[in-house]
Amino acid sequence: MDSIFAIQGKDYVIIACDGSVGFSILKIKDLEDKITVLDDNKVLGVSGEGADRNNFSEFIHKNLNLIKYRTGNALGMNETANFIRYQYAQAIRSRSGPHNCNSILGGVDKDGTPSLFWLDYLGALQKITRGAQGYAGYFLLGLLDNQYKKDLNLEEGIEIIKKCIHEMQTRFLISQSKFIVKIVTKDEIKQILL
Amino acid sequence: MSYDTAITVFSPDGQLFQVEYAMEAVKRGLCCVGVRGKDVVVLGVEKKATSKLQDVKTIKKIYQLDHNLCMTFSGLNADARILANQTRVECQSYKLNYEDDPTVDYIAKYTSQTQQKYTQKGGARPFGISTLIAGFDGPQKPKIFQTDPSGACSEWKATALGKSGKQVKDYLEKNWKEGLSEADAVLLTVKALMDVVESGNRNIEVCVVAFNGVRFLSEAEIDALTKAQ
Repeated sequence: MDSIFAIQGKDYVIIACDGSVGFSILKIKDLEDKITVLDDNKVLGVSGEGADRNNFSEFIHKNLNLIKYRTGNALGMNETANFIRYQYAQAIRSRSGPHNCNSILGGVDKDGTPSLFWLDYLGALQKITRGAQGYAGYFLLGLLDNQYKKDLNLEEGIEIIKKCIHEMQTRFLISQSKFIVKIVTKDEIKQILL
Repeated sequence: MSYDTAITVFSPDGQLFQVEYAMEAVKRGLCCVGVRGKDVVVLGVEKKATSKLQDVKTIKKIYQLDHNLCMTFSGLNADARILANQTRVECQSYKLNYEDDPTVDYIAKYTSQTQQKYTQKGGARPFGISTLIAGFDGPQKPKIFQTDPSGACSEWKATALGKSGKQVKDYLEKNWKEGLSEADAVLLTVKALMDVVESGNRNIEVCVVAFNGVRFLSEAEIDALTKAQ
């Protein structure tokens, strides 16, 4: 039910998520932040049921912290993506079972290169320039493919995200009124509400 | 279950010699100093290059345990690394379970508890280090704790460990006062170390722990401070 979608620009990535949390026919909350900040230059948008979403993102966050303090530096984007993928892959055939959630990892390395990764609960990992998790894919992949071009600047990127949000609000059966958008650049992570 | 593999056992007159020998190892270790200021804690430690070929810059004796928590030590280098790594795991584990950062005294108690466990463990010896753990309980609440091989843990305003620790502690007792600024705390730490360390920035590592994060002084800054003495 969660919509997570993302796009990569020239020197930034944007990940957006819907804010709604549902329970049966009820909408409990409409501004839940499903994008966890892992570091000062990477974020992880996770889609799945509440507990799995929270547990998984916190688990990844604390393990990445541990690696950061143990080794003295934080992992880069590619390493982080593969680390998360490995956690998914180990869990899938474990006693405790798979992590019932899918994610999109986005961030900008120290040298300024942005990257976006699509991961799912089976342990698949794919580097992407635009993508989505959940039902959002059905509605937005076409739109994202259409609008995307190489080296988008920040304004163009935000415009595309706005178009995506409009599409979801118009066509998706489940009403998702508020979207949290996180913009990651080399220097900062900005959050806006759309 | 084998109940006969204990190494640390009582002597007839009630002493745990292994623990006392471990404290001897600490007393022989290189000096380390901790000074609490108004809103910083400064840790300083003596480094020794075993040969001119060794790159002293790469010896790190102040371990960052969390974003605003640091630990330094006197004693066996490798033991410190192990204890620091275990404590780092505990920091993250606490955050995973309780969301908030652990208090400094929680981490100090955890560290000292680990050290105590090894005085009652089969087949293992105690850790040969005493540690200084520096951090914050809140924005204006800096804290330093000291642990030792017996598992004792106590809070300090300023302290020193290792070789000539007593001498440095006397110096700190005379010169420490409440509410030191960052610059004054750094100066006091460096002066206290300079008393016992051979001069030259190659031999000192200094770290300032503030509520927002940790800052290791660069070679140039330490050079300037030591030259000014």
